[in-house]
Amino acid sequence: MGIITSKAPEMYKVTVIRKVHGKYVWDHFHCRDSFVRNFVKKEMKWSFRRTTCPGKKTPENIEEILTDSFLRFVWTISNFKVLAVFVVNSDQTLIYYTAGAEETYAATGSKQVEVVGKDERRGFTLMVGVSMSGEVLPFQAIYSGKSPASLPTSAAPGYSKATEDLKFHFEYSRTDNHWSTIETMKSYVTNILAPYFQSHRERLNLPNQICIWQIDCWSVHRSLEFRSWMKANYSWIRIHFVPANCTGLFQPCDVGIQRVLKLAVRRSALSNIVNHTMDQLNQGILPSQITFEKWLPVVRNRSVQWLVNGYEAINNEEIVQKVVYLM
Amino acid sequence: MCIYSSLFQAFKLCSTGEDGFNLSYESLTSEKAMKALSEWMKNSKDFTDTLSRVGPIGVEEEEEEVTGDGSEKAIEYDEIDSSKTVEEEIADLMAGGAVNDLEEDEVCVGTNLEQYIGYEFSSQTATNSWMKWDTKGSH
Repeated sequence: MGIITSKAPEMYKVTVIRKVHGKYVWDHFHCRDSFVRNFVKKEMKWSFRRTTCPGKKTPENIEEILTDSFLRFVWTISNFKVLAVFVVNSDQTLIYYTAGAEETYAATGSKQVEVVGKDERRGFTLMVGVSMSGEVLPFQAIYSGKSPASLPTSAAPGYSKATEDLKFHFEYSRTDNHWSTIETMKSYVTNILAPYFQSHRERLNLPNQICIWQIDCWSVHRSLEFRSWMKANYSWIRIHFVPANCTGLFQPCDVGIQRVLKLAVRRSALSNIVNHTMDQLNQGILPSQITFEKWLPVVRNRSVQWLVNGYEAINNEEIVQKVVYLM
Repeated sequence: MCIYSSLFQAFKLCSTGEDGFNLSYESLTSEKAMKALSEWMKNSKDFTDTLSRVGPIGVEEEEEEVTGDGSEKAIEYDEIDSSKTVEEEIADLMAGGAVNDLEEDEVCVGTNLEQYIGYEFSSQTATNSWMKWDTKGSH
């Protein structure tokens, strides 16, 4: 995209017709993923490869399982008079620093697929939470590392907004990877989830209100240690698990939030890459010699603004025309 | 009460299937849901027995183990088209879920389309006109 923008900007003036929701509309050329796939497949004889794992099977008695889960919600909500503000779904998702690092193209038929820049397959874990009343909880971002030096610095673009306005929590994993751990889960509950519930309990003068937290069946969530800790410290938060292998069907974050969020994040990341590419081209560097910024502290700092953009995308006031607390 | 939010939509899209229940607050607190709960409790002692326990609620089944190195598995295209705008993605969500109407072959990049710009390709008739043009091109 950077090369097209710099060397052939007239491409973007080419008229195309797109099919959107069954209707054909006029548009200008966009360097869409589908175009790139088509181009490399037909012109370069490359096919799209991804190091991926087989998808999970949906249970055969899916309707029964989901109905069971639904009715458990119904029971808890009716039995404890739970308002929508007191129901939260949280989910973790991975954000890669290099957009598309898990994918590559290779000549069709090739057996060995090396992912260029595989070493750069680094990213962080993002914990997203949304309430049934339409609120987005502050994000928790978990970066790999064993000290605060592994976190974005205060000089990162968007840092002030992220930490002061949106109350994001940046945490290091205390391990060699960015996976969420029981410690980061406890931190999420203590620093984000419980304060959220507590603020509404106080606002509505419901100090003993039972709250619902829907999370998936990840082993840490189900672990005795975590459940015991929740019971000992937050017995008023009742956990509802998303039925196994049903996250794509019965987990609101998975069904409707992460996609928008990840798109916003990816577009922000791509914007950084395009700008960086254009800077190099404008300096006279040949397209074949263009490099991408891979230095971890730089991309890690960039990620803060990506998250701010992602948060605003799913909490878009233009979309949320009228937020009403369901009471 | 009129609510237009992708967040509400996310809960609404979590459907149980044919029963028509979903995770929206309206559905969870509906009379129909209460009746269904009552019926379910009558018919399933296990369900009823597990409701009032203090521990977490849900199907505590192990996630299926994912195996294989995945290096040469079937290709699955990335579902996120980074050239799509966030607004387009939200519009798809509000329309009932992720929709990918853009098929590769449905993108027609051409230089000879100007002849169709004008009244014939007004926003109202562009679809028909283009399809007519497309049919001609295929013969």
